[in-house]
This record gives sequence, structure tokens and C-alpha cells, in this order.
Amino acid sequence: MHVPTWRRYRRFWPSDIDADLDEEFRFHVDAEVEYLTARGWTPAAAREEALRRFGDVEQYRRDCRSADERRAGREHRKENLSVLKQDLRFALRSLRRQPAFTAITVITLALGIGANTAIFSVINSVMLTPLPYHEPHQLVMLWETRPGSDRPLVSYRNFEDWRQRQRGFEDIGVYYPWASFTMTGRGDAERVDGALVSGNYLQLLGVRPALGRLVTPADDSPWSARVALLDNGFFQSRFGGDRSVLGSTLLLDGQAYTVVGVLAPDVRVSYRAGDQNPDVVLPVGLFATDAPYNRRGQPGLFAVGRLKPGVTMQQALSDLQRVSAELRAEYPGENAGLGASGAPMMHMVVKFIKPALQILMAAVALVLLIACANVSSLVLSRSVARQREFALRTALGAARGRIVRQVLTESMVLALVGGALGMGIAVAGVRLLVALQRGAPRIADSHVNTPVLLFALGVSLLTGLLFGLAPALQSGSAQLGSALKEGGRGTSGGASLQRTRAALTVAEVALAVVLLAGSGLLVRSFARLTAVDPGFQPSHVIAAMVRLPAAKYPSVEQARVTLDQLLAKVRAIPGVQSATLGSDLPICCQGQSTISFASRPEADQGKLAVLNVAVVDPEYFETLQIPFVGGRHIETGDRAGAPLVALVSERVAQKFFAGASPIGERLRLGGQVNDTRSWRTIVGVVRDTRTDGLAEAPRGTLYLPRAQEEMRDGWVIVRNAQPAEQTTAQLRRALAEVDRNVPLERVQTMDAALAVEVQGPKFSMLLLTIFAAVALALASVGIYGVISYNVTQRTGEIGVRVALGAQRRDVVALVVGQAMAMAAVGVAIGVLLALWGGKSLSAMLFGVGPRDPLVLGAASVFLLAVALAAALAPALRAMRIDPTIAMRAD
Amino acid sequence: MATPVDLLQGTLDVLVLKAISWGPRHGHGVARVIRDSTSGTLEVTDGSLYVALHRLEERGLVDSEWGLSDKGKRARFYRLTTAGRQRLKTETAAWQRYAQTVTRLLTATTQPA
Repeated sequence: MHVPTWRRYRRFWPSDIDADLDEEFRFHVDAEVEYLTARGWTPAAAREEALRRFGDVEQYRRDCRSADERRAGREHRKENLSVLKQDLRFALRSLRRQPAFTAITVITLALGIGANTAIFSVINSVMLTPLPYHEPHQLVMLWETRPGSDRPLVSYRNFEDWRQRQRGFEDIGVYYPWASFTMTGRGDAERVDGALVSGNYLQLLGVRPALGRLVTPADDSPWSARVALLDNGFFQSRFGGDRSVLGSTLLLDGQAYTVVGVLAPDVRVSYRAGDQNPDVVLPVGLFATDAPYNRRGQPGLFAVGRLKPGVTMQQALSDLQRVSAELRAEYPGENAGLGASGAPMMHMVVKFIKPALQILMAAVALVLLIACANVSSLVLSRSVARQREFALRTALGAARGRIVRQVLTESMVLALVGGALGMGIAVAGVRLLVALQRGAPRIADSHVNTPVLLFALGVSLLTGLLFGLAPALQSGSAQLGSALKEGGRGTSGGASLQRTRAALTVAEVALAVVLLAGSGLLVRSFARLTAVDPGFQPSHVIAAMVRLPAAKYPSVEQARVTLDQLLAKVRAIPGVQSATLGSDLPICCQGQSTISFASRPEADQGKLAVLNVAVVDPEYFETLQIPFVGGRHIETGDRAGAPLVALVSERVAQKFFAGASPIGERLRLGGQVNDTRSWRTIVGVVRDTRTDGLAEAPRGTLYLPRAQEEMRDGWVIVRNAQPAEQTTAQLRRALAEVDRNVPLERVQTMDAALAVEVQGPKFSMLLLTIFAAVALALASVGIYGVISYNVTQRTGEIGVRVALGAQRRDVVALVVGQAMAMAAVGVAIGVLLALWGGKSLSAMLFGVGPRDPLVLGAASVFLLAVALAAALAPALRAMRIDPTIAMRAD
Repeated sequence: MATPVDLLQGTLDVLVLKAISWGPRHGHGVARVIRDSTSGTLEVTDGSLYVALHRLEERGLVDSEWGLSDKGKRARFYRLTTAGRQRLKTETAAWQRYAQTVTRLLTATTQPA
């Protein structure tokens, strides 16, 4: 048997397995028939015998086919893999050959992907990760609705009734995250933060203790033994993780509490008080008979309900409204206008940061898009240089798809390397974000974890596809003839390519305008916000909290005398210009109360006014420099036993007396219908301070003299020319002289306190401005690249023009004109986009509209200026073109 | 014709490998070699040879290409790959050891100690 000429038959892939098998089997039977007839069989008998010898054709065909299919699949994968390997090797080699191009591209992409990943890390942690509680989607925050009050709180008494009478929730619990105690008996007196929780609260969340037990319903009454639960962080830092603290006694505000447990390390008691867990957790029921928990009309607790399975939030809430209507009827004075409302816990946790995060995510995505456009343009211009290479490879038999695939592989390699580097940027970016926005719920938990890495990988691949597609298709369409003919510096070959690049640049400019306009709006809004007059002079003022524990100062008189002594010592500090005491600072968030005026009896208790209430010393207004408007100041004669007096802020006069003087009007706190002893007379009016945040109109404040009120806790407020640190040290000394067991808390300058008010807007503004700056830089690089390349390409043409008498001015105009045309189109599109998308920003704006013409105008002009600057260098180069050299080169 | 012998698992594969060890051969050629050299001792349907060939090809021991038979018809030719040749060598050696051992025992004339 000779070796046939079969070698010249190429096996084409993919072959048709079934047809091949048919042909193979048929050949076999035919050959066998031929063999048998040659040995004397009749053709019919030979065929029958051949088939018999072959056996079950169908069975064998099936077996052969499955073997063939397995082999085909394996070979196909192997082939793909080897092509990929080849492409990768080629890509790496060609990228290494152009280190500058590769570096610029990778860095641009790393910035874009890194920034996106950083923002996504935060979003993932804050908004996408479920709360770390048992079945968190069933948890609903609940609150009382009362006319004039917008705080999502419930009073302890109403909570107890809600809990007993409602039917939609498995249970309802409450907590108060801002308690604070003085811990004594273990070295120096120290301040510990505490949370008060109802006995069922922690079980309701489904959290665990690390040691001992949780606070339970049995601990939760005024008659229960006093127990405390330690936070794990506090347990570690204060007690060094020593288990013997379990069962020992803590002295908090002079009361002994037995430590019954330690929370597990990852447990958060709540997400409402920033991200700081309290040091100790106590049962709220221990305080149920004390103010304010014994007052039905004073909501001060956060409530959480767990929905029964199969009950919707709406059903549960309407049931709670039914209970609230009962309570309204039963306690018409304290529960006037009472209602109930609620929202998913997650919603409440992310409520304030969500709009900012969404805007930032959108902004950073725009930055990435611009980066894509830029890189795409770079890759395109590079592919011009490779036009000959591609054309040659096509001529040598490379399929068009193969070349597209090759170019796309290069883009993917760039994107993935950029993405990998971007992870470093993301890690740093997350740290920066967390530091900038400390205190926002859950933001501290942000880190680059598996979902974030997957996001980054996805973004990288998408990015590679996005910026690689145009260049890939462009290379695929390389025309053999023209590309080879065009030589080193053609004039026509880049035409469609230049159009693509110009379009990309226009897109970049448009997106940059959008970002610039957005950041401009936030900057302007921030400027407006910080320009708001807070109503007092914050500079050189320090405030610190002092709390006298009720256990040590059982009588109000004792507390008053001690505070007076402290104030006297503070005033004696050299350099102190003025010092005072007040229950609240003149910024967010003062205490509130319902008020009724004697001259305007309100039949409907639900319509009572709600005002801020601050208890102050006479010097409060002088120290803070809150201007006095009319009437008289608080005087030393306004003491206990003397007729009760009050000052009001201007807003009260405007709101309730139509601007007429309220002096001489009588009012009282709360809705105590039959209480005639607490009428107070308004004796003076002062200016408003921004008590509801800088962006909000003040609600109006009622000032009561400390001498006529009960006050154990208050702010010492000092106006002083000395540096803040020095004054703080002196304040501590003064307090220690009065009572060395009372610590000085929450020391802050009023400037810092005001800065906290604008921290959120500042965060968004800063980031958006950074993004806009990056966008601008990228866009200007894009414009420069296109114009510069154009000038290079048109050197000959420009040379001809100059030779024919064109002035340098004309040449510059030609080049700059092209840049400005591109920029103008981009700006026009960008302004339209900004007008369309501006609304999404409006929730974050103060004192400026989302379509502010000034901002849009400024952004447009700025971008045009940037375009001009970017075009200048190429224009100058064009101007210097020497016609003789330029024309000779062609 | 003697009573046909059932083939041991894997033995058919070795026979097929052997059949193409002298050079590329199409399926019919393989069938003829096996039928002629065993004179019908082994009960093998021709179809099962094809299954063996395709499986060997899947395992990389055999390679196939289309070519023309000596009668000028299109046929699929099989040849050994390097791996196939190696396998044939080891399988042959193993078979010989096995057969010798069994033969030695079955033809023993004295009872082993």
C-alpha cells in the first residue's frame, strides 16, 4: 500500500463530523464489497456479508461521534488558548517597545479605574452591604409624628404602649445612643459614652455577646438590679480584655452597675450616632421614672421594629397609626396630633450620605469615560503608525478578524494593567475618603474586598473594550494599497481616523463641561453656605461640656452653686474676656419644646408651636456676640422665686406676632393645660442663630435664665484671646479645683463646631472638584494631541500656504480655529447635558440653582480657554514652519 | 474456524495500534490486517474497530487525515502519533510478560513447591 497523496489535503476546521463518519463508513463497506467480490462473492451476497461484518452501524456511529466531539472541543479550546497566548506575547512586546505610550495610557487608566473602585468601595460598604443584623431587611425604624417636629424619635411612655398594643411587628425596641457617664473608682474620673437600650433591643437585632450575656427584659425596669454591658472595643482598651471584669462593679455617675457581659467585636449597637460604638450599654428601663423618660410628650428615643413574616411595612405602620390614634385620645395634652411613621432601617442609615455618593459615582464614571476617550485617541494615533504593519500582515494572509483581535488584546492588556495599578490607587483613595468623611455611617468599614475587586475587574474589561473597539475596527479596515503607498507621512490615510479622534475629543470636552459645571455648582453652593451669618461670632470662642452627676449633686441648688464656682474660676483665668454657661450651643441641635402663648390660646393642642429652648446665663449673648434687638437683658434679679422671664429670638416675633414686639407676652412650655404656675414673660429679643444647620432658616429660640431653671449639665463657653490649647488646659484646672471627679468633655472651638456643619458639603465639593480637574487635564491633553497631530500632518499644506503668501496670523488662526471649533461643539453639548442632568444635584445645593447661568457660563469659558491654551503650542509650531523645508519633505 | 475468543479490555486498542504501526492505513485496511492475521480467531466487528480508532484519536495516540486510497477514492487514513508508538511498545511488553507468566503456569508439568 503506497502512501497516497493525502498530505496535500488540508484538514479544514471545523469539519463536519457526521458527514465525515458517513463517508468513512461508506468507504469501508464499499471496499469490503470489492474485496469479497474479487474472491468470488456475488455483489448482493458480498454487500450483505460486509454489513454483517461491520455490525450495528448506528451504535458505532454514536460512539465515534461522541469521541470526535470531545476531541473537537478540546482542540478548539487549545487553539483559542494558543492564539490568545500568541496575541498576549505580541501585545506585551509591542507595548514594551513604546514605553512612553504605555506608561501614559496605563497611568490614565489606573487613575480612572482606581477612582471608580474607591468610590464603589464606599458605596458597597455603605449602601450595598446588608446591615450586620439578623435578617436586616425586616428591621424598620419607627418614630412619632407630631405637628411641628421632624425628629424621628419616640417617647419612652408611648413606646411602651406601642409595643404592647401593636400587631404588625414581632417586637419593637428602643435605644438612646448619646448617653454619657462619669466613671469613677478606677483611677481618675473619666467620661464614658453610653447607649441606653430597651431589654429586648439587642435580641431584636440578633447580636451576640462575646462574654457573659446581653441586657435582657428582666434588667429593664426601675426596680431591676443595675447591670451594664461593655462594648468590645472599650473592654479591650480600658480593661485590656481581662475577663475578670465580668461580674465586677462599675461606678457610673456614682451608681454601681454590675458588668454582665461584653459585646462581640463586630457588633454595632446602632448606626445613628456616627460610627462610634458606645463604651457601655445600659437598660433604659432603669431610668424610666426619671426625666425625660417619664414624659410622654418628650420624644427622645430611636425605635426599631422587626416585621412579622408576611406583614408588609405599610400594614405594620398603619397598625401603629391605629395605636397612636388611641394614645392621642387617651392623652390629649401630651399626645396632641400624635401619629406614627417609619422607614426601612437601611434607608435611614444611608439617608444623608446616599445623594452625595450617587453624585460622586456618576462623576467618577464620567472621569473614566473621559479617560477612555483619551486613551482611545492615543491608541488610534498609534495605530496610524502601525497601519503599514497591519496592511502587510493582511497581505501575508492574516484574517481581518485576527488583526482586530490582536489590537483588542493590546487594549485589554493595557486596561488590565491599568486596573491592577488602579487597585493601589483605590486602596489609597478609600483611606482618603474615610478620613475626609469620618463619622458618616458605615464608611469606616469600607475596604477593597472581593465584590470590589470583581467590580474593578469588570470595569477594567469594559474600559478595555470601550477604548479598544474604535482602534480595533479602524485597524481591521486598513486598506492594503493605500496604507502601503502612503508611506511614512501620508496625508489622506488618517482622515477618517482624525474624524474619530476629533469626535472623541468633542465628547471629552462635553463630559468635562458637565463635571466642571457640577463642581462649580457645589463650590458656589459651599461658598454661599460658609458665607451664611451663623448669628454669632465664632472666632476665639471655646466651648466644653460639664456634667454634674445627679448622684453626687442630688439637689439642684448644689449643682447651681458648683457651676457658679466654676464660672467664677473660669472668669479669673488671665486673658478670658467673657465666660458663660448655657444648656446648648447656638448651632445645631438645641433642645426643643412645644410652647403656648397666653394671648393666642390654641384649642388644637396638635398645632402648638415647637421652639428651640436654651437655658443660659446673662453673659451668654455677650460671650457669643449674639446681637441684642430690644427689651431688656436677663438680669441678676431674674432669680429663683422672682417672676419667670424669657428672651426670644427675632424669628419668634416674626412667626407668631407678625413682626410686632413680643415683649410683655406670656408663654409657657409644653402642653400642660392646667398648669398655671409656669407662665413666663418675654422681656427681650435677640438675633437668631442658625440653630437648624447653616442651610436652614432658624426655627426660633426661647432663652430661659439659668437662675430660674434646673441645670446640672451645660456648656462652659469662653471668649479668650489666648490659643485654644492653653485655654483648654486652664479650663481643666479650673474644673478640677471645683470637682476633680468631673471631666471636661467635648472641648471644641466654635470655628471647629461650625466646620463640622459644612463637612458633608465640603466632602462632595472637594471630590467633585478633584474629578473636574482631572477631567479638564485629560480633555486638554486630548485637544492638544489631536491638534498637534494635525499640524504635523498638514505641514506640507501649511508650507504651500505660506509660500503662496499666507501670513503667520492666518496659519495660527487656521490651527487655533480648528481647536476652538472642536471645543465649541463640545461645550455646546456639555452645556445641554449639564442643563439636563443638573437636577440630580439640586438636593445638594444651597443658594444656587442647578442651572445657574453663571456657573454654566464660567465652565464654558474656562473650557474654551483650556482649549485655546492646548492649541497654542501646535499653533506656534505651525507658525514657524519653513515653507522651503516643509515642501521639500514631501 | 475455532471458537471465537472474547477480547480483554484494551486488547483491541493494542491490536489497532499494531495494525497501523507499519504506516498510515485506512479503517478497512486495519480491519483486513486484523482479520487476516488472526484468521477469524477473534470475534471483532469492523464497526468496533472504528470506535477504537476514534477513541485512540481522541486520546492523542492516533492521528487521522483524509487522503486517497490506492483505488483513488477519498478515505480517512490513520497513523500512530509519537505517543501512540510509545504506548504500543509498553503495551506489547506488558502483554508479553503477562502471556509468558500465564503460559508458564498453565504448561507446568510439575506441581510447584
